[in-house]
Amino acid sequence: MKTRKTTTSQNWMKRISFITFAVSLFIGTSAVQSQNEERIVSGVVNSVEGPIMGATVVLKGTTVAIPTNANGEFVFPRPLKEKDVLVVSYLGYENVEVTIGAETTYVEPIFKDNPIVIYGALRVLDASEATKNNP
Amino acid sequence: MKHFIFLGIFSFTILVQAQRSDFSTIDFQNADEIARRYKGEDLSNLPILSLQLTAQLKTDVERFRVIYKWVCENIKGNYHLTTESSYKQRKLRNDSIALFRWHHSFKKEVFTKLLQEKETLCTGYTYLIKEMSNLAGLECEIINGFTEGYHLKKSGKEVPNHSWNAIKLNGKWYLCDATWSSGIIDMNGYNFIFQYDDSFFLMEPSNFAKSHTPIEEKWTLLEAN
Repeated sequence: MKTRKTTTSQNWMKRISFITFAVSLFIGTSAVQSQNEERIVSGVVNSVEGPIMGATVVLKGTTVAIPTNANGEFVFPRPLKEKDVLVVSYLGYENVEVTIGAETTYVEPIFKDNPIVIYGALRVLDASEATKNNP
Repeated sequence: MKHFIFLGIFSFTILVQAQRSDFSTIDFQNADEIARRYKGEDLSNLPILSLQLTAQLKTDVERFRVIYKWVCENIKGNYHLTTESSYKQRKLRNDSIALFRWHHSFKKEVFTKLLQEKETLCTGYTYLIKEMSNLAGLECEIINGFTEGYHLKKSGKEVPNHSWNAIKLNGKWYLCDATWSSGIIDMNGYNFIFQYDDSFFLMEPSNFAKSHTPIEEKWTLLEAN
């Protein structure tokens, strides 16, 4: 009797370890899959003052790009994989780079204000140089 | 012996000065032709424009040349923006909060005008040169300062009135002024006329210093620094 009992518990142990193995194998495989899997990425581009229409989202190193709509939204035209980099740009703001993660399907890049200072006073020139006047 | 020392110092100065003749073996025709091919492109997609302009060129100086040429031949100077900037900066120079508020909205106006009409003042030129160069993998800076002929320059109280660029090529910094290369304002109708002036492209620093005084002295690129 005693021996049988041991055998049953050993069986259970075997079963549990097999199930654990199978589950971990499954998780491992799916993790690898999601890394290589290409997927559609969408998002919305904002500045501190709200959504930006007409910002450009481009896949780094390519000419594949899409502009954002009136609500700052976009759906990238090519499926993306992990470690792809999207460069988001709009005139007057600093570019933002977004790296696609293992599970990324939605991104929300936010533009920082460009610290640029506007200069461009008129040069005061004498009459002989008036035609060379530049901003 | 004395002569040799002088000769030595003299030739050293020539070597140190970053100037266009460093690239005398390079023909810019190819870069200039690409700039012409993309004439009229709009600014809504700078990363792609920058890539299209520079992709076929092999050297950094040619990549910079095509960007410089494209900006100079496609962006117009706007007289009214310049006047407004000059007037407001002088008027508000003792009121930092009002100056900040004005600058914030003016900056938007400047970039909107640049994007929609391809018209700007010097900061717009320098901004494009820097952004497009950076997008092409080149190190480029905006330099703010004063230009000659500006009557309040020496008082020390005035705000800077001009900006230009420094570009790093083969590990060495060079100076250029796209605003002045691009063209001139016809004072009769305050209209801008494209008239490319190549002398401000990688101008030799001691010559550049005659008309441009940067806020930070190191950006004169004169050998004393």
